Amino acid sequence: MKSLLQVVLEFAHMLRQWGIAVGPEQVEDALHALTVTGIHQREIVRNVLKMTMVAKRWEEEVFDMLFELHFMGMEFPPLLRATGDTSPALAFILFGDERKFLEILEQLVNAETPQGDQRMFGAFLWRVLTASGLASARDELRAFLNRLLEEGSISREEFEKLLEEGNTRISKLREKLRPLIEKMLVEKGVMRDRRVNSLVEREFYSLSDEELNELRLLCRHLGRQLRTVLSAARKHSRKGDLDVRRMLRESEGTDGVPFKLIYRQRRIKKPRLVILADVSSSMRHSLEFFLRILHAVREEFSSVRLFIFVNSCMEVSWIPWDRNPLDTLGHLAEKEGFDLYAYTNYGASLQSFMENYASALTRRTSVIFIGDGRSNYADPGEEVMKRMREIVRHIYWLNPEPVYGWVTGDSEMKTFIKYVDGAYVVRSLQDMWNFVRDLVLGRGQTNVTFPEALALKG
Amino acid sequence: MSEIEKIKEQLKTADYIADDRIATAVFLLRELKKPLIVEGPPGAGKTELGKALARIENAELIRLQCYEGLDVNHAVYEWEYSKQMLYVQMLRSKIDSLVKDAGTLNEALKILEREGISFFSEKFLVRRPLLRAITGSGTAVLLVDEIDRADEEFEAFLLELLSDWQITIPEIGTVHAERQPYVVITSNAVRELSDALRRRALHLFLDFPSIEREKEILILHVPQIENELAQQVVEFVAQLRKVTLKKPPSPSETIDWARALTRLGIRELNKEVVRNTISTLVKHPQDLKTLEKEGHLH
Repeated sequence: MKSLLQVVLEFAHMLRQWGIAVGPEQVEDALHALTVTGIHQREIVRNVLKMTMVAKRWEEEVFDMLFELHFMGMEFPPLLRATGDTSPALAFILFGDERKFLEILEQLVNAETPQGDQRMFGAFLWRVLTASGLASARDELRAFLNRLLEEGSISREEFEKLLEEGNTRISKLREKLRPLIEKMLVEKGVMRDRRVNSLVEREFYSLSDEELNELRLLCRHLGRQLRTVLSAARKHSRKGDLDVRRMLRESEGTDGVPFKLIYRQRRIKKPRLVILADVSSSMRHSLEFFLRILHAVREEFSSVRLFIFVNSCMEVSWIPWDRNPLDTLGHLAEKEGFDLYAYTNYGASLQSFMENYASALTRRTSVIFIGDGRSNYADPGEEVMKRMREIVRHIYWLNPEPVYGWVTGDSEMKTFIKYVDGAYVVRSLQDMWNFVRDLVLGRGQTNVTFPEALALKG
Repeated sequence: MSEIEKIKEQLKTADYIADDRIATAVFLLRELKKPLIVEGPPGAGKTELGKALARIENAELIRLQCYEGLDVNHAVYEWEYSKQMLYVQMLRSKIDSLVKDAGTLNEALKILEREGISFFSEKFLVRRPLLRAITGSGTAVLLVDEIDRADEEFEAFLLELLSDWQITIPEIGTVHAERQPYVVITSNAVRELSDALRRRALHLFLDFPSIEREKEILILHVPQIENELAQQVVEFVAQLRKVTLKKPPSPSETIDWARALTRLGIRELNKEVVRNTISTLVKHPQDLKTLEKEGHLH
């Protein structure tokens, strides 16, 4: 049996891997409290741990998920740990219900808390194999059948047949164990690096619903990373030239002898963002993840307004950006009679934007388009783009299509690209992240623009 | 009865209906002697929790309402300038006679020091809530209300207090706590609190109560209400909270509304009653429009 200390420490370790900062003090608090409340009631344990370890609202969701994962094992103590000289699992392996056995294996896997890195996989697999009795099952099977043979209960033929059947079954179970462990390791954060990186880099359309959910959870983590990168970059670029005037003024206090060097603080120019998002169905994931990432750094902008369009335009700035924004969008569209399923028409959309929201555009505005630029052969609205170009500071275009798609069919990118400061292919969360980083650091044009896209422009 | 159940009972005698989470939070607060940060929408009962805690602990409640620009002078201590001036005026002749033999300014100062005349002593110190909370005797509950409205600098003062139980006053030195108050900090999440503060505290996220709990709260505060009506009221309110409103009705508004209804002698909710009294429940004009539009009033 694991001690309470061990269980709580392991849980804290797991929380940390998911970016929830749990210090030794919190662990101590939790233990202290649990020794008084006892650990018989699951909900009390959950509340105590939550209140001592979770400090931010968003962490609560992650906490609940991890709590389920971690403490599920506690209610099902490993059933199959070998006792005595033969594995009680053998009979089960040979004659039991396979599904039931897999369920138990899963519980077994989840009850374990791995530490260390991915190289542990082998060792971990071995532990589960041993604990479940699968590791020694072949030898035991042979010994068992041998005994039966010697007793004369089975014939040589039956011996061979049973041995083969049993071995096939054992191999099959062992194969099933592998993905089970892999899944658990990912869930517990051990294998995060490999899987998650690939998730972040994978293109949205190729992700399953489950993977998308995982990615959503990750957005917060990536958002925090982004803020760290930004504040580090900011520190280096903040200092400006000497401020002679202020230095002289300060020196009055010391009889005109300047003691302190005073630098001009470079003012951070916070841009105003206007986001124009194509919400036809092909664009949804790009939009959602863009909003989630942008949400993490919203303080970097003096205002952010969000407009959606299909064949007309509507402001939706107030939807919750980091919580199922698309669901809200759906409700809102329905309520306002905005047709999400109409044919995309860029010209009409831009026109309707200008008619209703032109005041959103100022000299300090950066406009970001998210769209595939496909206008169903309708007017792309070049005139409006031209006017917009004259007013605003920057226009960027995020397009989930690869560049070669930009010149085919009804894509109007060839028109739009004349008016933008940068056009980017954003197909994965990594692309989004890079774009937002460069946008906030004010080096939007240089870093992610595809050379091919620039060639199109010329 | 478990600890948690006991605390629930105690809170109930202090007119506060707690669920398991809240009771656990109070339990942890007492057990670990750590500050408790309560976050949640306005009206969810954050401040009330602090008050109820003071009642069950039979403690002095020291409340510090935060606002933008709250500074040391209002939160910790202040020198009573006018009193200092008054003393100087009153004591002028006395001081004159004391220092009449002094040749230089330096000598005069030394004489004054020897006589124990100090204008920066406890006598001229005005104690503001934070200082009051740690000096004095008996149990105290320090309720720091809506900390997210204060500036981040304020969190720094609070941190020194909460981590070391001391406050530094430059002119006097460090004041060590004579007692450790229970600390309840509420926040509406207008601004993110600093990690340093979060790390030192327990956390309770307080949402609007469940239907059952709200009914209990309602009956506690409006005892004359009939069971049937109470049920209708809390169900209606729960439904309203699902609509996106600028200011969803809080339990205190539910209570107000129920009071109004009982005062009017209404025994059953119907469309007309709702329409005539809804303004006690929903305050924002735009919210009223939204409700009208979505047909909640018909």
